[in-house]
Amino acid sequence: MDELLLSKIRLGAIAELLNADWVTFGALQKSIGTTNGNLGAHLAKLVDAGYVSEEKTFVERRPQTRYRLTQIGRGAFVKHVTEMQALLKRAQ
Amino acid sequence: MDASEAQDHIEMVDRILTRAEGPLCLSAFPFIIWGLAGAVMNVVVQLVIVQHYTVWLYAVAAGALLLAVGLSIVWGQRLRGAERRTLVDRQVFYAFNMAWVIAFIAQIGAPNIFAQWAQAGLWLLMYGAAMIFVAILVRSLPVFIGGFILLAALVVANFLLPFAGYVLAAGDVIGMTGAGIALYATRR
Repeated sequence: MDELLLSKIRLGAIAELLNADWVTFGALQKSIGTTNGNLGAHLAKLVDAGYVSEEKTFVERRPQTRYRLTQIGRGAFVKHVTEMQALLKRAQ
Repeated sequence: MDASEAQDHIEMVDRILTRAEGPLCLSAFPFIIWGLAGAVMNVVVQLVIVQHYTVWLYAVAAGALLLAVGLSIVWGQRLRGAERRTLVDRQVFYAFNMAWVIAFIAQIGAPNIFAQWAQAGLWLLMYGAAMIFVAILVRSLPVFIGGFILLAALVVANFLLPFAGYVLAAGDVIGMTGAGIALYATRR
């Protein structure tokens, strides 16, 4: 299994990005329900691994950080979920 | 990771994906604005070409076009403040902008090929195709019917050539603006 995606927060963030072109940090925080610092640290790991790309922009003069899922991240997510499903099947 | 943890993670992913698949919302605004702008332009062309009104009426058509472009830019700026953009939003954006750019290039770059009513017809054709594509993508009946009405207006205009501008304008208003109003009404 993918070690990076064993964290529920990182897996949740990837799932949020799966059907999105991009999602802001604020929206991810709202849907995942964690603190700024915690989510920031988890997202940084995903960015470092190339699973997610980060884009900083300004909206009405306020900074906004957007995240997109990369092809590497999409592939890793699909593989990880498939492996979890296989684990469940074996356990049944 | 054990089986119960895997089950918990899969359930979370499932919840997130189900929520993301919720109702796909199309904005009514561009349909209403571009339907009205298209109608104004078609009526102006009808008045100038068929009924020989002064060519200065083209200023009204240009004004409607500029107003629609301006309002679309303002609307686009407001969308920038959104918290997320879905992959469907991106495809809808590309479909309509591609239709607009292709029709615009044909109008400006090939006026000998797309002369007179062919220009208006091209706009309807491109937008009709974009609307039907988008309607299938987001499963929207009003937009599908609207796109079909645009194409139907084109066929009807072909047989009512002396009134072609009015028929095409009616297609714009019923097909595009009507679809926009239906989208707006169903969301309230």
